[in-house]
Amino acid sequence: MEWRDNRWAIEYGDARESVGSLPDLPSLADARAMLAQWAATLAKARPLSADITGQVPLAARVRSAADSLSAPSTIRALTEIDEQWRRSRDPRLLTPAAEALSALALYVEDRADMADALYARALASSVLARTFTSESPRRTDVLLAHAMGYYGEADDSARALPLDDPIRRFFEHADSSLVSLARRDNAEPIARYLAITRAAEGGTAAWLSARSMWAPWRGQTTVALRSGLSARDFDLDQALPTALATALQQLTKWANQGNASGS
Amino acid sequence: MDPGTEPSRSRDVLWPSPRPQSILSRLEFPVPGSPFPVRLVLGIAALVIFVVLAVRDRMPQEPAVTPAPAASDSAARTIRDLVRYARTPARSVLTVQPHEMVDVIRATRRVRPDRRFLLAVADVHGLLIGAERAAARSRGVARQPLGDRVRRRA
Repeated sequence: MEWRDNRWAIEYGDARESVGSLPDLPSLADARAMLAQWAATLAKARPLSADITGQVPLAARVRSAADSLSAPSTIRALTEIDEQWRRSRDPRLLTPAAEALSALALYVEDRADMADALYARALASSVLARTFTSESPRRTDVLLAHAMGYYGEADDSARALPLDDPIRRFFEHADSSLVSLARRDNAEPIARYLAITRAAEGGTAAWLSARSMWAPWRGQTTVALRSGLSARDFDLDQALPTALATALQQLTKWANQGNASGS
Repeated sequence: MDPGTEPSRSRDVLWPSPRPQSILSRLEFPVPGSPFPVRLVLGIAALVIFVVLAVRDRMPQEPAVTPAPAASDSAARTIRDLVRYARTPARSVLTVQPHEMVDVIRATRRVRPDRRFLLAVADVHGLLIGAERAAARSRGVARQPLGDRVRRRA
């Protein structure tokens, strides 16, 4: 990467293959455009599979895993996607992969900048899904922009979602309608997660109350706790460490049970 | 006997001489047991010291290390490194022309793009081509992110 003609010129590999360029202060949209152009160039050299007839492999399972806000299920689904992608290079796998990776990125509380590889992989999958499929992972893009810290772009993208979408309600700070969406019996897990996240901004008591409303979340407890970690000062809050310890105990128990049943 | 010309021992002890005396005047006479007069020895020593000081002043010396020059040197080195990091020709802050100074400072302060964008470049390549990653893995640098590779080359 070097500064050339008032833009960042990006090159890749030992051969310094030209990828594209970025402005002085690139936005997420700038990065998406550059990556899409780079992907189209690479696909000419090695096209994706043209045989895309039949059922979309794994899509339903991956989507349900990502929607369930369960990190272990999502990781397992991603492993299967990876195996199928190596075999088939079916472009229809890109959308569920992007959804699963973006969901994982949403769960991460990355204060030490250690999860850059996860964000990058989610961004790459999202761009490839947009470039090579007709499906537009709009909700995924909104959540990914928010997870990566591009809040303005997340707000702008959320306005394109349907009015009753909990993600749009969350970004528009329509808290009462978000909570009513989360209280439905058949509510989406993401609606409940966003409602808990918003409740955490109001204090520990509100967060614990909202969290207990939909408990127990088997295998999802850490994801719910992440919402508390994102909004609370951990060292000043006595309730959160206690809840975290309890949740980790439950998660460990759950993981041990999973390992025992798996073996 | 005139007491002013030949003071008695008792007067000499009780009443100091009205004539001021240099301390060296007591060394005016040869030291008992020494073949050289002390005044001559002291004069030679003073001459030697004078010559040594004169020669030392004319010799090239290490600059005195004080906090201010040390900080200045550190700042110059930092700016030089930053300029090199920005891939512009390395120049001393003392030789950069005033009209170039703005560009040099701007280059050193420019924010590099989000590292995750660069990692995504490598990921897009890895997902679509995958060959270079496999080759890199065989060379033992599979985990090296693109950003670090770019930085090292810079």
